[in-house]
Amino acid sequence: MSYNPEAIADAEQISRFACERSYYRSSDMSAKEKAFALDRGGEVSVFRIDDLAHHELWTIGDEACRARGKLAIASLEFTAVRVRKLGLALVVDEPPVRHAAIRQWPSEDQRLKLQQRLADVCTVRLRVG
Amino acid sequence: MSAIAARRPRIGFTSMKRENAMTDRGGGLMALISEAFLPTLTFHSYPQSLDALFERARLAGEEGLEPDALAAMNLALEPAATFLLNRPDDIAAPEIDVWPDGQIAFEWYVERGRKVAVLINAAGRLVYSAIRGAEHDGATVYVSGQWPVSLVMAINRTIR
Repeated sequence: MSYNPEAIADAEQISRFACERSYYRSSDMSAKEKAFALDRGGEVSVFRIDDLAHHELWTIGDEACRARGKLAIASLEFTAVRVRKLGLALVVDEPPVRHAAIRQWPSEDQRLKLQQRLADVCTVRLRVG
Repeated sequence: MSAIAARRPRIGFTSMKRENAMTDRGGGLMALISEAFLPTLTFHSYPQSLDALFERARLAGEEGLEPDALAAMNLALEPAATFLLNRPDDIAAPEIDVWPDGQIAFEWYVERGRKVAVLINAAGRLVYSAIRGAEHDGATVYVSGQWPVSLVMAINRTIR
């Protein structure tokens, strides 16, 4: 799907970059809810990754992890519609290019439930090479 | 007090030197551990789960947790330890982690769509969520000397 800077289509592939191994389980390659911990602004930072070459994906991932002094080690991937089906908002949030944000999180245990649900639909792509 | 709670050692945290722990990622945390626990727990009553908790906290400090998150984590250690020490005997020990904001996490994981997560923050607020397919149990409470019955039931329903 071609990248449209104005809107995010339901079928788009989205990535939450993992900066540390504790964001996923190696045992069954599933994501952990910790990967969707909210940032200081109360949202989760993600990137739109359709049509990216391998090196482009990890360049963006490294940029995402740079603030924490780390490199991206995995890409936790899901389609945009999965976020919206949970009742969350997925919106364009540039710059940087291709950046998006998951917003409208509920509070307390309902938020934790959605973090668990979102983790469950992720495909974990490890960085190789 | 329940029979389970009565068997568990009771610990006091009032002597913790939190300022030390908050400013020194390695030594301060170890000082907190030794001062808070060693005088009150015998060798035989010191639970392995506490070792795991403090080891995970130490690693979180080394992994570059932000200073305010580190401070929050240090404060969350007390209620998290209380939570662990009061774990009912028939519930398996959870996996322990630290979230980027310093909350301490406990997890029982069976498979995708079947897991329980508990988060404890610096104020001792405990949030849990258990999912089993489309079913969900969850609530927010405060850590006390006994686990909420609803949490125990949620874990039993989810991981067995």
